[in-house]
Amino acid sequence: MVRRGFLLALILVCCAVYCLLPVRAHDLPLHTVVNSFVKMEPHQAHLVVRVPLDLLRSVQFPLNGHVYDLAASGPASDLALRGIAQGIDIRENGVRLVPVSAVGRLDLPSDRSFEEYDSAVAHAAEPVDPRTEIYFDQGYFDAHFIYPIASPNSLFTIQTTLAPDLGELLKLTVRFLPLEGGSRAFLINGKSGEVPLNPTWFQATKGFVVLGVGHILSGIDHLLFLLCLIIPFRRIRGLIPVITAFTLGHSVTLLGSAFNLAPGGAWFPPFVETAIAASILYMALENIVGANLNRRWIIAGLFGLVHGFGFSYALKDQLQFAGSHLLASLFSFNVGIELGQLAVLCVAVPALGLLFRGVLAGRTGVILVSAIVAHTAWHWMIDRWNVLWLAPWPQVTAAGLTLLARWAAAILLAVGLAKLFANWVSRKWPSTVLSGAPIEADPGDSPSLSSNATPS
Amino acid sequence: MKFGRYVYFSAVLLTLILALGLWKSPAKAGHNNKTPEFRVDPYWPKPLPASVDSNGVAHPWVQGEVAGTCVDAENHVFTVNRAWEVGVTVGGVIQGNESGAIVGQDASASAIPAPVIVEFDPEGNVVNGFGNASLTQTGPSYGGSAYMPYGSHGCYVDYQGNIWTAGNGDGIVQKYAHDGGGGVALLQIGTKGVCDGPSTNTKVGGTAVYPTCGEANDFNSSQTLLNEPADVAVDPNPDPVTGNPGDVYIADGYGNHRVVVFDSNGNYLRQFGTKCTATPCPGGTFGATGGGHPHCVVLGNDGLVYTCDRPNSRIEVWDKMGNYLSSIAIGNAPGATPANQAAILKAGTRACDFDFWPNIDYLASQSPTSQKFIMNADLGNDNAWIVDRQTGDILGAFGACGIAPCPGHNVAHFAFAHTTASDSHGNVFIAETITGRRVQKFVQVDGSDDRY
Repeated sequence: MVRRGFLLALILVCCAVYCLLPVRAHDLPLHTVVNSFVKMEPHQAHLVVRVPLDLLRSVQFPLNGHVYDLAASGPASDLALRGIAQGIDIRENGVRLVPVSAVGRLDLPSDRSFEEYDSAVAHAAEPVDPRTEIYFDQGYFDAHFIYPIASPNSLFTIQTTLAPDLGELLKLTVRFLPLEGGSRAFLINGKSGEVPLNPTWFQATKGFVVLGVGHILSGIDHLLFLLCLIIPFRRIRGLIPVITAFTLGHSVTLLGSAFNLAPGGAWFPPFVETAIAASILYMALENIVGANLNRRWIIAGLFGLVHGFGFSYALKDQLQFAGSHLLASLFSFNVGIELGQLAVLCVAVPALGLLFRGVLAGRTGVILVSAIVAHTAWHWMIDRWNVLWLAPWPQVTAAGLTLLARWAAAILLAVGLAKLFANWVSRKWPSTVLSGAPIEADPGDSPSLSSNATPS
Repeated sequence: MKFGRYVYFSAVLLTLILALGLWKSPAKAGHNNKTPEFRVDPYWPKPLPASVDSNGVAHPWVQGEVAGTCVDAENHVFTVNRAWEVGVTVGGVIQGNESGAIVGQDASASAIPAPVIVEFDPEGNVVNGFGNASLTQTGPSYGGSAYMPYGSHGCYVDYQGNIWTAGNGDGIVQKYAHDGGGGVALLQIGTKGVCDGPSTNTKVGGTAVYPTCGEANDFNSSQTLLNEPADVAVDPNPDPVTGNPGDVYIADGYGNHRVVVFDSNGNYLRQFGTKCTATPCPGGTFGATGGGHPHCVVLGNDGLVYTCDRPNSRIEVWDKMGNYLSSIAIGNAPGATPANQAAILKAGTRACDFDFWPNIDYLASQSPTSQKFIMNADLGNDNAWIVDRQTGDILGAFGACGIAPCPGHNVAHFAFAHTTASDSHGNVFIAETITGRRVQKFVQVDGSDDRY
């Protein structure tokens, strides 16, 4: 007890001392974006990078009045090269690569050679025209590093620790040019850690499964919708078609969004958010008035389409890290969402079973819980509608109508296929839920829960 | 049920036909011919700084007239502000003796003038400001900063990242380091308070602060002095004669009637343009009176020099040696109603300032794009136009009123729209002077490919 108290006191003292330490004021540089290319060749990797000069203040380039003394900037350039090589960490199979060649030069802010890799490489190797006047802190330092590699099929990662005090503010844009051709662009920051340049299939899928699980578990509106879906059910069997329909619905729009088939106007994200809130409200109200559970899978499927757009916003920023495994990453994100849903069901179904006992048994419990959810959803819907109202509404254009037609066709086809599937199942197995057989209800439930229940 | 199924499958078929038939939508195929559309970003810039003093009183910055706007390589936006045009202090409140200063309700005990040059990041946060607003000239209390141009006007970021501004109440053009360099100019062309004019001149629209500055009698000839310059552009390309980069093109246009070219060290090279003495004004001349003759100078990526002849509502095109080539008249609006077209043409000063669009490079002279459009600030019509560079036709407008005069102080209205600047993302910044006193950001609506 005494020891615990002593430790606690020690911690408190340390905190107090830390808080009293004078806060170092940082003179934040204005330009914090570093541009780079990484190109793979059979036996070497090339890094070409452009660093704003106000990120290299620790390197004292000699001045001639207000401009850099280009003739005397050799030693400072070497120092800058060492600093940049240290600050951008490229690894092959976890082992840090060391450059065997490094060239660099000062450059004007108006130089455009970093638009393309070839011009960037050529320009970095060119000596600066001695007549060029580059003003202090205005411009860039361009560098080209060559790293020997064991194999272009190894796993490569990149990480930046340039200007560590800037943390997330420091952005590094990477355009990766793999051996097989093409290019991929992504943006990392000082806090991103090691980012795979060419993730393997397994790495990409693992990362996106985790992302999917995280997204569904942190998305309170999706969780509330799931809760509304499952509140009236007492058996897992009845839930299967509902959850499956919801899954199919959101998969369609999630994949569609990832392939840029979603409307692009500023009105669409607030529209999706409002529709998600409205879907929760609808399901809760349906629970209160008495849902036709045999047809719930249709509503779940339709609302799943809306929720899929909502899921896609979390995905879009991360797709840059999918490497060449775009489809697998999309699928894995979806799998992650399903695993998250399953986890939620495994907890929620027994929890609801425990809750709906005693005074909350039967319809009472369903109505009460649904009413609480409906209240929350109502407020969300109003708040989000206020945002939507302010957004510029789409204008009717041929392009917009085309997009609408595509989506309408896809939805109609999906619904039609689903109905055909349901009819086939009901012919094969007449006693399943999809056939319209009554949902099993707990004893004590009102007969009105099921439209096909036989009055006693 | 059978009928329902029939309806259902008909709908599916019809939708499929529609979707497939319009798969190549007309907008995508011909988007390079579309006039870009813009909407205002009402949240740009973010609220200006308001430091709180020891008494707990907040002192918000007020820009006053915004007399220039320009962008740099990082898409940071600079404004040239005149709130500092202070004169005497009365009752603890700084009084503006020039119309550009903070006045009226702005000049409360708590508001302070913004620095002369303010830098915003792309999100609209103020990241820097320089130009000491509290400095006043010793001697006669005309007002004005001791070292910046009186009547700071025009703004330009050059290929080396330096900031240039002119002064249409003065005789100087100054170059500052990107961060202001502690308020010390790197270069000054001209002499403060001394203009290329007779000892008693007449200033446009006000009392002469410096006796030699004004448009009534301009000499239009000095190789060392200017007369109320309006705008600056710097050429990163070699001069056609000397072969050296960094020529400074000055629209020496409120007093004089010329574009004067200096080298990067401020040495005179040549000039072109004269005062118009005929009706109508022939090409190669600038309107005699009304200020802004020329009012802007812009270097295009075609190697040509574009100037705003504000009194004649036209943009004149020259080569770098000063040979006049052509004019672009501003005012013809095929999309306007007859009444609006008449109103547009009735107002003068239609060619106040412009920038090319798209402008992927912040330097119009280097942008690899078509620069198909001219984004023109029409001060006379309180609007800003999207103009076809080849024909001069007004194809669209930034103002909320469409192709019509659009006066007002609400969002996407204008009060004396004065200068424009395009950044590399296709955004356009339009600054207002006189009673407008702000800068507005306009964002492309459809986000279509701006590499026209």
